[in-house]
Amino acid sequence: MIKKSVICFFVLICFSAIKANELNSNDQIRYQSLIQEVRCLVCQNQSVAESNAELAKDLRREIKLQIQDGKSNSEIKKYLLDRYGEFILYEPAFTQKTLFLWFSPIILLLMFYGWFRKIGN
Amino acid sequence: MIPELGQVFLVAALASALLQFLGGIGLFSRKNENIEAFIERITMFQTFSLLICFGLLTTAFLQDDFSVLYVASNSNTALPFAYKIAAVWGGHEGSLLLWVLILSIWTFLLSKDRALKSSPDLRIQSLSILGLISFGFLLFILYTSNPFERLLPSPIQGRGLNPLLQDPALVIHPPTLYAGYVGLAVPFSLAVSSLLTVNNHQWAMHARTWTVLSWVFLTGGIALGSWWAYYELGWGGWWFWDPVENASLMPWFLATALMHSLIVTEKRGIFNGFSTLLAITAFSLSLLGTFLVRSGVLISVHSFASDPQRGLFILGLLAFFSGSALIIYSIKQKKNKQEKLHPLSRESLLLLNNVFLCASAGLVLIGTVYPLILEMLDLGKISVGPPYFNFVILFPFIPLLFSIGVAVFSNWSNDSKNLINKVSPIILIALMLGFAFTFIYGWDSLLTLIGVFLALWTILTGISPLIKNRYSINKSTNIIPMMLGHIGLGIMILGITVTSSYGITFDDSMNIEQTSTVGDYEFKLTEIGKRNGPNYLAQYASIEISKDGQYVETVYPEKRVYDTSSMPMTEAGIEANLFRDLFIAVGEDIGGGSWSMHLQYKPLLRLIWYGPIIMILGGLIRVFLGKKQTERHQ
Repeated sequence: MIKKSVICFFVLICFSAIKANELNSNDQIRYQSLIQEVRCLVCQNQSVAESNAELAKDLRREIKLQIQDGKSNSEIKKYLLDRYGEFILYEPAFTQKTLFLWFSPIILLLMFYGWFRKIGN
Repeated sequence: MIPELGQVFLVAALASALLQFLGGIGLFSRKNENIEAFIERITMFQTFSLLICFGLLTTAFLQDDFSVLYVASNSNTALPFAYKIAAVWGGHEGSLLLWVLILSIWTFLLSKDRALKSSPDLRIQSLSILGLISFGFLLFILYTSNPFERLLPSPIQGRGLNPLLQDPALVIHPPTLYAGYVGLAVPFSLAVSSLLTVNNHQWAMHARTWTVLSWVFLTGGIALGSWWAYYELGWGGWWFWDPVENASLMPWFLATALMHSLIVTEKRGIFNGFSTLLAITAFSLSLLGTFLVRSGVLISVHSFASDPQRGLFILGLLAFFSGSALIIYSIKQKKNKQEKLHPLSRESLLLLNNVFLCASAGLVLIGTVYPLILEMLDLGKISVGPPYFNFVILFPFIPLLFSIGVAVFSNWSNDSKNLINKVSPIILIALMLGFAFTFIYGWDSLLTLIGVFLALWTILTGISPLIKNRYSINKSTNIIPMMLGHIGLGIMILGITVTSSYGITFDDSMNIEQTSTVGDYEFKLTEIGKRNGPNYLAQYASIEISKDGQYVETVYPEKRVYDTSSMPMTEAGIEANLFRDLFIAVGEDIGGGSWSMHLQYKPLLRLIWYGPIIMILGGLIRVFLGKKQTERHQ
């Protein structure tokens, strides 16, 4: 397994050397997960990874460029947020209005546990 | 002429649904035998009318009768024959007609349930309630969504079917899913009619088989949808947490809980209230799903406001049926038999698992409606998507999967002695296998290990009754369905965990004769060309796959532009076996003879659909055996 991944890594390195506009393997993984978290704003409900729309292509290009510029994930997300608003990110930010949303797993589990005890006894 | 005839039969169905309800509440006769004979006949007539309606609409599609608005908006002359039939339920009006048709078929089948004939009160009331539900939806169709509405002057050509829907899986996916959704109306009606009449736990015995059958359809429908999304939507995903998907997942969680809760209610006569509540909420969530999908509220709260009639009508139906059922429940439900449960008895563990399933449904519900509520309160538009759901669903699911395995070993009524002794060897084996697994595939994360362990644990505990029946599991009709259900679930979880943890996605730009490597596989682009389909133009690529220099397969991914839509559709090239999927989609022409290609290696992906197939098999065996068993009881 390790041997294979080393070979794989070198193959990828070779490719990135040939094609200046491609990403290295770590950045490729980062790029793939990032574009899945960004919503294509003109589509029904698709991430920019899935969409064929022009906007999605532009956003993919933009994200790739920013990764090549050495920007971190949070910097890229901040850029998208400032430019397009909260709707663009599939992971809602932790703010006052999403407080209940983020605490809902705990609240629900406690609530249902209480219910469970009540029926159980 | 055909549309008018359809109209007539639609009205006839409406009238018979109303008569079914009124007859059931004893408006025409007080004698049970009379009522039953009347309802049986009227139910049959209603099903017959709706079948004719459906047949007439299909005929209109096959004849390309564009004077019918619905046909003109969902079909055209170039559409292949099979898709003209699938187009009947490709839009709003037709799919609602399918909804009521399926409801009437369920009703008809329930009226033929021989075991139920021994409880005439329960039988009459539940058929009557189903009549009322059918009446509500037929009214909705006639009032806001009539598929037979004329379009005059009629256009020469129709608008065509959404290209995304032109696929063999779409021919069966919606009917299957609907059969599941609508089937939950049967346990709902049995639960409510029990509250209104005998008010004991007898309904549980009758509802079990029907619940399992709708669960089978629901599971099949969801799995089919996921499979379709995987190869048709073009980017290799198999679950998107799209509100439409969530709408089918929530009733699935509750139907699963109901199925298990009914076992306890039937066997031990307890949790009657809990089962009743589950039956009511499961169907309510089906209605909510129908509302979410059909009202347009998902696209935007504002698009809902601009055409509020349809949405408000379904919301009204939802409020009426769930509301009145819950009111009846709160008035009629007797206090639970006070019986102290042992914390590690099978009753307790089943209850605990059902509570986790309810929590899962609750979480999905909150995540789905939260953005809608914020938008309605003018607090801005947010997205709640995969990163959120993938995270929160772990909270109920990790303990749930663990406790499923423990429940298999527990005893009815009392604390199982040395439960720990019984489960610890299996925990150890599952852990060891889990470590071995992550060693072979390479270490990914603790979560991956937990996922693999829980999957193996669920599979092993599912198999265990087969190896040795010493674990106090009674020989009964439940054992094989239980085993298959749990093994299938474990297999699915294994597929989900491994594919999400070890899958590789790689976007590359490729020239002819160039090779790209993903994992152990090499992909060589050998040809790019164009070809004509019946109603589209396709750009295809030919990709030769090899592994360590050994030829594996050649696939032909396509990008299609349909005559009726400007948006290109991706048809992926997929090479699959039990252990892995290789997925290739054609991207854009980036100039200089170079094309962007989307390449994926997805280990154990197939298990995500093989698991549900095994679960369905278990369910079907349960339906078959259960039917016989109940009849023997009579």
